[in-house]
Amino acid sequence: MQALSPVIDDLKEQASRFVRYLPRLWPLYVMVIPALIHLVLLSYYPMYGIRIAFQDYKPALGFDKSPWVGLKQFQLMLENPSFWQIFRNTIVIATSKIVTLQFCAVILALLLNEVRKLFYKRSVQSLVYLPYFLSWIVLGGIMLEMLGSSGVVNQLLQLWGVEQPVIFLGNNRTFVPALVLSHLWQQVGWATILYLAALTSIDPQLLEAAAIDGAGRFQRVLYIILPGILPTLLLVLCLDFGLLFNAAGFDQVLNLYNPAVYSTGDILDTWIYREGLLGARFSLATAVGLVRSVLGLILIVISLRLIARFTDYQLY
Amino acid sequence: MAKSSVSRREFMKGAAVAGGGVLLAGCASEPAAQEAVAESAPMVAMTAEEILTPLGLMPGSPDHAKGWTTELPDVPEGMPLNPPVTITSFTRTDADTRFQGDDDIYDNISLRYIKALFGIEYDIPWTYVQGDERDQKMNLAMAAGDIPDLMPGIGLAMFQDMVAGDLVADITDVYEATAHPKWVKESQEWGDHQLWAYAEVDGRKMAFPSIAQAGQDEQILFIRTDWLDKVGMDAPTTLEEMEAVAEAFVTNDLGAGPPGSTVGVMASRDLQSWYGGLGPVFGGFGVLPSWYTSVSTFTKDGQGGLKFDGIDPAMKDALTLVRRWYEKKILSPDFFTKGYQENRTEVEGNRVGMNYTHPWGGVVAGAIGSMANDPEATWDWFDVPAGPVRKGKNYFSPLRTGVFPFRKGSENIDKILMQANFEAEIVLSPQRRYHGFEGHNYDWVEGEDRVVPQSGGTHGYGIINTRGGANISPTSNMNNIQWKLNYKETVPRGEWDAMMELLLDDPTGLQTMQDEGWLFLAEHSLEDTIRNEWNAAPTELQKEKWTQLQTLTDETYFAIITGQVPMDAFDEYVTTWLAQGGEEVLAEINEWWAAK
Repeated sequence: MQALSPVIDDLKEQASRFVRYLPRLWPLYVMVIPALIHLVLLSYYPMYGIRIAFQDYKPALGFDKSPWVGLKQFQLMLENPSFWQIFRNTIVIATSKIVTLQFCAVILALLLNEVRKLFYKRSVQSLVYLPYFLSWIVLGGIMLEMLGSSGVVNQLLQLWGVEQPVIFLGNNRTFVPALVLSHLWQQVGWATILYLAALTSIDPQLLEAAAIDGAGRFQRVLYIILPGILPTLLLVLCLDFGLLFNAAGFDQVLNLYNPAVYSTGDILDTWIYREGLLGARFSLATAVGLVRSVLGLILIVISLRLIARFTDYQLY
Repeated sequence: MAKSSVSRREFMKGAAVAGGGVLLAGCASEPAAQEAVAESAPMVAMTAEEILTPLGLMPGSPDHAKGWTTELPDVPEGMPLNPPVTITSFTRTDADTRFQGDDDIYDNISLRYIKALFGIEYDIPWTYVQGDERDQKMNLAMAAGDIPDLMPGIGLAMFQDMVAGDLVADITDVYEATAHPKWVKESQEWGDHQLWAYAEVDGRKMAFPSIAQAGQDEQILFIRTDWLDKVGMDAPTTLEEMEAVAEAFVTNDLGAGPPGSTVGVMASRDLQSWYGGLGPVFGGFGVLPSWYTSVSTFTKDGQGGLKFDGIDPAMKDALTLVRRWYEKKILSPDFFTKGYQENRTEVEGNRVGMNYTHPWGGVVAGAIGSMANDPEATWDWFDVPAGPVRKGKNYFSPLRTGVFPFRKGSENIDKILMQANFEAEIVLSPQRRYHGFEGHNYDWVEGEDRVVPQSGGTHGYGIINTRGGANISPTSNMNNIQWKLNYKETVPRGEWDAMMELLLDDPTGLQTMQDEGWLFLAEHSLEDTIRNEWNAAPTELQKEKWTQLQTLTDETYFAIITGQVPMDAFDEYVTTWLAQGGEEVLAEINEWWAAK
């Protein structure tokens, strides 16, 4: 009981502080209520459905009549011969996308930062932002046309002397690079926004002083600008790392993959879609989804710790 | 162009008259008593024509010089119901679902016709495009405890679960009491009661069966005959000849696309597809790939049991041929990314020389567009070329896996069946001359006694003739074609009405091509096809293993065809397939077969 007394004292202190400030702060608490309701209804209440992972759930039988099967679905998941390959594909695709995107976004932001003609700079920015606003349903169709055997990319390759069309989306060697590059094309413009904002926070006097001291443009970038945006880059990388299992991109892969590239292109989300929704194995899909969520939670906690360590930003 | 006789204004007038009557009835002193009388039976039995004509909803065009009269059957006893009953259901809608004027999926001439004639209002809470979308929405509806009264095309696995969950009405008694003995019951006894294989559970009728037309999705080979002339070759009768013809098409680059984009033989990402599927190529080796279906293909093994063709040694030979075709660029280099829509675009864009498909696909989803884009293009269909083993293709059973269950507790099942009786009689009686509605299904050319088809058409609700719905008999379309041919022979050309001129004159020859293709398929269906013998709901083991086994099959086949792995990968695949649960599934299937 003695061990608990500091905790109880702390709680008492917090409660009395809450009561003391309530008359002044109540409008703020009221304003939080809709967000709380949203959170409870759409994030916490659906967690009730997690029980499906421990049942042999059938919608026709409902939650109550579907039989309990314990950890059978998790066992089936681990015994599935494709599971580890799909798990690996997810990590490989997600990591490739994150690293390539952030690297290219930094480069693009640095290049844009050096452009002095405002009209040209704004035009380029608008053009590279544009694909971000198109969904993968639309982009998927465009990509299938562009990367098809008689698409514009192969026609260009033909002009440059490549005789055989490259089947970008039908070959395991080219599918993942095609995914990563098309993702880059869609996202890179948007991803530069953060870095462009970070660049504005660098003190211009530093750059001027460096220039007076004889630092060239490349040296200024290397010793002043890059260190200046490094905290932002680390923050973004850590946040992406926390959302690794989302980063593989279900909607993109679903619209571009086909059975010829399952061995490199099939990811956890597409597998859940095929097994769970098309194969009507909701319990197995929920079990995989639960594992994915737990791993995602662990990654988020790790990434927040990393963020706290490498930057000044601390969430809790 | 003649104005539609079923204009919105006239309908509104009719509705206003009917609505005014209801309003006046509502103001009467004893409404409850009057309603009770109306519900039991109309005071005076009216004919369909008497009900529909004032509302501008009568099919046919009797008032034109070369018009015709539609003779509708007797209105079912007690109908139209007053007040109308509401039935909830869902329906399929896609790019081909079009309406005229202000009509849409929720308010259109079909719904108005059904309401006027039967007193049934269909409430459509949601629609779907593809079957998997329907299943997802149905699962949500079940999870929410809000399933519709009538559920068209429910897959077997879901139906089985619904029966186990006590969600489905036992319609045995209401069917016996209500279904028409000739038009419905007799039609559905086709093939020694086999049409009920999925809809009956333990001898009780738990759903209305879904029936396709005989040979509906079977394939014949459509060929660009102008290309044949250009390369100076005859239509192929063997797969070897077919390869030579396709090579000639590709080598001469006869297609209309960029250089080198000519496709010799259409192929689909679904190897067993009805449109561009290579089923008849595999069939030439005596085997069929099983593709994307919960009820998979199992054929006789010649020793009294069933086998899965996907692992048969002959499949390796078939894959060797397809792989060679891919190497030779006879197939599109990225065919595995293409489904029906993409392939149809290729055919209509005049890039394709040969296409395995059904007569409807070959004409409506092929030749018409192709000839519109290139007036020089000519198409014709041919029997599927024989392979080294036989001439073979997938047998399309008229017994469909999607059934029509009714919600347990629904009070209007008998009403839906009464509507089905009426519509079945129309479908099975071509002499009644039902060709839909003026201004919706067809229109008169202004100043001429000639009709042209409308792209909109009408949309069915209920059981019969709905999008993706149940036909009443596997032979109804054949009967219709035979009736048309008989009319052509027996009625002098000068006496034809405008609709028969449209149907029979056929200046492009495409309608005749399609009709002849249908008749050919129906006549030869049994002799040239390989039959799937497994016609039962998937077992628990199948449900557990099949998606993974199918993924393995898809992955291996496409890797082999595209040359990413050597041919020997097939042997490894067979071992893996059996080890990953295929052997257990086969044993289970054979137990079922032995018991049968």
